[in-house]
Amino acid sequence: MLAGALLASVVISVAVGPVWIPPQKIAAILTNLVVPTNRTWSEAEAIIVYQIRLPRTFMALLVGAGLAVAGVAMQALFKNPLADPYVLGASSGAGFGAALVISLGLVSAIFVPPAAFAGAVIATFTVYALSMIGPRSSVSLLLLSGIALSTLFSALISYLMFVAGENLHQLVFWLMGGLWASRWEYVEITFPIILIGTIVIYAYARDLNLMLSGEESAQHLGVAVENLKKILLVTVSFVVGVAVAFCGIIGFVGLIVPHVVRTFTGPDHKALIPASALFGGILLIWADIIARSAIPGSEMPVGIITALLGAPFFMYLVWSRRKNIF
Amino acid sequence: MLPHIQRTRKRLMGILEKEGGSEIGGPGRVRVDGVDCYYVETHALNNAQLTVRPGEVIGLVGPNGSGKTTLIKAISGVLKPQVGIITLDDVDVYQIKPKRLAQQMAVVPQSTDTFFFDFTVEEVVLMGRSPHIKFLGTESTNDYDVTRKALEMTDVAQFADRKIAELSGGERQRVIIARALAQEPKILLLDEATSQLDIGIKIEIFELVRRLAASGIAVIAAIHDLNLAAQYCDRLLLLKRGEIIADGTVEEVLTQEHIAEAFGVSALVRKHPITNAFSITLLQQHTPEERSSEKVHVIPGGGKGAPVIHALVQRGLNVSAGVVNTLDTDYDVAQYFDIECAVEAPFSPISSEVDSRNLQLIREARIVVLPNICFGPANLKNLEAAALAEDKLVILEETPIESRDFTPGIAQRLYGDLRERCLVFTELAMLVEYVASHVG
Repeated sequence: MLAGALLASVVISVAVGPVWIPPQKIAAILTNLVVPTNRTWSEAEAIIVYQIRLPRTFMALLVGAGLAVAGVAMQALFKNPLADPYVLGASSGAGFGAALVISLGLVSAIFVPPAAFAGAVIATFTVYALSMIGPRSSVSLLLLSGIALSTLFSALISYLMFVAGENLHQLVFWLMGGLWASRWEYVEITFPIILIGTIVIYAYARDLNLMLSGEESAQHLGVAVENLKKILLVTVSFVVGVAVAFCGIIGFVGLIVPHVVRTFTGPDHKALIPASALFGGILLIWADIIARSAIPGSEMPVGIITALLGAPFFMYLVWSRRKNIF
Repeated sequence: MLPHIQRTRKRLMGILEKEGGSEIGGPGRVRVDGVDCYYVETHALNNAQLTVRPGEVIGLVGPNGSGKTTLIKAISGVLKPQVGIITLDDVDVYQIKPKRLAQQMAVVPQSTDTFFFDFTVEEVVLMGRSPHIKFLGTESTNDYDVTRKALEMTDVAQFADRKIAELSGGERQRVIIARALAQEPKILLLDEATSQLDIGIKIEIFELVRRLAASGIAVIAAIHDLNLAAQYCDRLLLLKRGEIIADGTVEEVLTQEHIAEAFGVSALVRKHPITNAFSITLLQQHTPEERSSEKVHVIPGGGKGAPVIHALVQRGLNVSAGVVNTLDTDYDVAQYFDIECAVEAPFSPISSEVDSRNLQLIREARIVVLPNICFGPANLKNLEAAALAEDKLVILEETPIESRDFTPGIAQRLYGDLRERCLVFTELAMLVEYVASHVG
């Protein structure tokens, strides 16, 4: 059912925009890539479908899926329903990396994504290092260090924005997240990282179930807890890093998707992870559709849509399941 | 630190260090050798020694913070000792991969985390099979069979499809025990696993533990309840502030001296006359320095003095007693509370020497209590001594004197006189209240 919904979402996402392109035309354009068919479309329409909307839709799918799965992993790892992919400071680390190069005048797409990616990964590893007590890392220290580091990076970002001047607008746009810059080259980088990340996290689905009964209990049931943490943190930091690098900071997807999906699949990660990936992808595709069509002739950062839709829905979820939220 | 390090080195040299994991499949013999554990600053375990043989039920007892849980954690592989070594079948536990270790050893914690409440009982118990399932593997029919058996053994099979969140605390804990059993361990560690459960469920679980031990599983259980420990363990380790202060059979470990040392309170240790089980009653006892400066003297006899002495001592009063025969329960109680006593040999009339000692104690006392004792020719002197206490005397009269007089009316007459002249209580509690308010 989710797969069907996904296909429909992809088609609609490609069809909708300043120019409406009917699904039949999309199908024909795509078929033509493999088998030449009768031209029923204009060259412009082909370019819009193939070079603008299609990579953008794929990017939304990948990033939505990646953030959702990363959110599932973090919530299980921290046993905290409020954990999200950014809990270890990846977002503000990436933000700082991006802000740094933008404020240096290196606005080009060659510099921003690598800087953001580096920022995300460095932030995550710094937080992990800060949380070590002897050979183990403490989960509450991870959370606190993440908050502390995020605050620090946010202050630095604010400072850079303050001195950035004319580049400010671009930075603000990037920080709110958006998919408008999506290109096939980016999809080519993002796809393997998020696919592998999702597979790795899924491979540890059983261990994530065990983690829910507590770190020590998990170890007593045979989970190499410290290894698992390292593997998941590295995986999540790569997934989040690549997402943030190309699409900026898209909030709420990684937080609400696991909660919504859990109400359907139950807590078992073997079902929760794939379902979250699909649902996350669909959600971000739709958020992007709204973001680019809500205001004619202009487009909003998709982060505004995810937050606008996500926050009230999340409140409803918390309220309706207030007895046992996890 | 230096002696610790030397100690470790000596021990390590004696142990053949084997490659972790490769030798798994032994009988499940755990050895704890010279283990020290520290939390950030506190010394939680000091030079712990322990060898556990298959089929043994070992109880760890001791007050809170004595290191029971620390020892369980150290053995279970989650708290690496700074000094010393813990081995399972001669392999360092901390060299064994968690998954391999979990095939051998299962742990039931004190309470369970609430984050997996949406799982069903069967799903949770099935989690116990995960150490036996290969990475990326799926559950086999055998895994489901073992799970089913574990559900039945712990009597939670009827809840199999219910969610954990819907169960009571006791049922939930049984599910966790079932999960541990699903691991098919050779060693089962219970960290006060039953401390929050009703007594009936506690007993049920420990009966199960005994059956598991009979099938060859070694059980190490931190137990708060001394009576439970005495009833179900083959061997006890008594811990105090990280030290094992006694190790042996129940009789060897649960002595009044050991309990006083570990818990700082006194205990009555008895064997139950019918079940032969140990029974330990912890008593609040004021040390002699804390007792009142003024004294209360009790004239005991035939066990009737014991409850009075007990009640008065519990109120922190400085109690003396006499004259009492050494075979009398009252004598045991006096000895137990370590109070001053005028003592006579068994079945002997009160000698003048002991009588004058008793009179001395009566003179020193602020109040003298005459409990509901019987009188015969042998202890008539006690009644005469009571008469000499005059206005200091208070009487506890629960049954009429006629039924307690085994002299030809002499005691009745004497008692009648006393009764006229002093306070008479019919309830112990009221007497104790009166005495406590008049003695400083």
